[in-house]
Amino acid sequence: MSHGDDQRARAAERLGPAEERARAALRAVSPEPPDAEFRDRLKRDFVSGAIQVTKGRERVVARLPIRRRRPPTVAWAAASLAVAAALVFVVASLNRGPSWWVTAARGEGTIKVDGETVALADRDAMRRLLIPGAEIETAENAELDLCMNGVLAVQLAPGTRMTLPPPPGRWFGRRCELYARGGEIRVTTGPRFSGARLAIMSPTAAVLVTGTTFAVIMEDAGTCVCVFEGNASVGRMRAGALADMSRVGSGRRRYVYKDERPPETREIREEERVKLAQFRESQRAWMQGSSTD
Amino acid sequence: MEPSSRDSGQIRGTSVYEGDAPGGIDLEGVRRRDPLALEAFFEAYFDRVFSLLKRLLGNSAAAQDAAQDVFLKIHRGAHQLDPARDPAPWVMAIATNVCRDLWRSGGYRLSSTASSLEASPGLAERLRSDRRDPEEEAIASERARLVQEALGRLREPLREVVVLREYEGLGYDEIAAITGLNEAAVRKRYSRALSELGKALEKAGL
Repeated sequence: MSHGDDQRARAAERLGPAEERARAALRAVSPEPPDAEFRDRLKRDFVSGAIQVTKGRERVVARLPIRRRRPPTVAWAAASLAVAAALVFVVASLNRGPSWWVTAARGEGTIKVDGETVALADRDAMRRLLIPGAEIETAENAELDLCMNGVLAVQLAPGTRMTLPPPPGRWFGRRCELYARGGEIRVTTGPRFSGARLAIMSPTAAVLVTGTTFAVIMEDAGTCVCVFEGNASVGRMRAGALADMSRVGSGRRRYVYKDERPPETREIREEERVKLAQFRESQRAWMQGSSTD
Repeated sequence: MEPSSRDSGQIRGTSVYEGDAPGGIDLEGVRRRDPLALEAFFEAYFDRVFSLLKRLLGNSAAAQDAAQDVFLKIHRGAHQLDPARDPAPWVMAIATNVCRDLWRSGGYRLSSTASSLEASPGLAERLRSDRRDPEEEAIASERARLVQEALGRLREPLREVVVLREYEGLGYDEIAAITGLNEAAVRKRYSRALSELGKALEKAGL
């Protein structure tokens, strides 16, 4: 090729001075001859058909350090777990039901919350201590009304001992249990209780409800469950298990004896009907979820 | 410096791959894996293959392993050879693909970044034997090392194109056929490769 041809070819490639210099530098470098021993060995293997990939490949793998990268699946799994944990936390927080409030405290006495004596007038201390799981004991001259707005209200008559249940979840985990050890408890459910289940466990009886107003009266001979409205399933607690379950309708009461006598179902006592009606009425505003403590 | 054969225009216009197999290799014999034909084939292509691999991989040891892979693939695929066509593009495509496989491996990447291009005592030795002036030899040796290093720092797709073009003397269409790119993309990569090399060499004082 003549000098003129070369210039025309360069112009066709439109190379700048730096590119031209780079190309000239590249062309000035001659190839390095291969190792003669390697060449002979490879030629011998190629011609004879003894050439193998494994030898060479193993050498490459052995000589070149392998970058040990954590498999991407681990990072993805960790990220997914973190996101899932955050999601669970957020959902669990949102699912949590309302807190307990003291709606009324009658009498001059005190209550004990987790062994700590609190005056009925000390609402701040009660608000601080009355959390789900707290053991409450009302004195003989103290009566307490507690409420979860729109969900559930509980009245503890004088001399009652019980464990405050957690609120049922808003969307799931809508079951709660109240453990009563003595005294009288009146319970009424609100519109936001719909779909939830409450179990009240006394020493001798168990009550399962899905929405009602009723009383659980624990006496020396046994436990009386008085249903003011709605229905309740009442059974006997025997060796920690439920037995003799029976449905109790509105205006009826069922007495579960401590001894082996069979449970009895009768008309609700008038005195209890009045108390339950008063309790239901007193909690109406709270059950609408519009009032606060 | 004397102009090389490529400077005389051989890489542009006409391809070094056009025409029959070099040296009248018995390609039918290669297809049958006849030892004599295989020997002639090896003699005809080994130096070019190794040179290509060395420049693409920038490492003699890796080039040796790759060369073994390339000739194994040639041996295994010999029956696919078309005796009517020059086998050079096929051989170069195999070599390029072996390099690509290596580039994709994590081991090669770490090795290439850790060790850069190896110093080239063989090259220096050979340059020394070609020249009588020790100072000129030293300058040429250093220059060659810097060029090799700059080439090794190029991204693999750019290095591939520039090596095939500048050292194998392939046309854009042939490079396109080997790399699976279209011709315009090859031209663009070649231009970009020269531009990056130019900057690198300028920074190195060349």
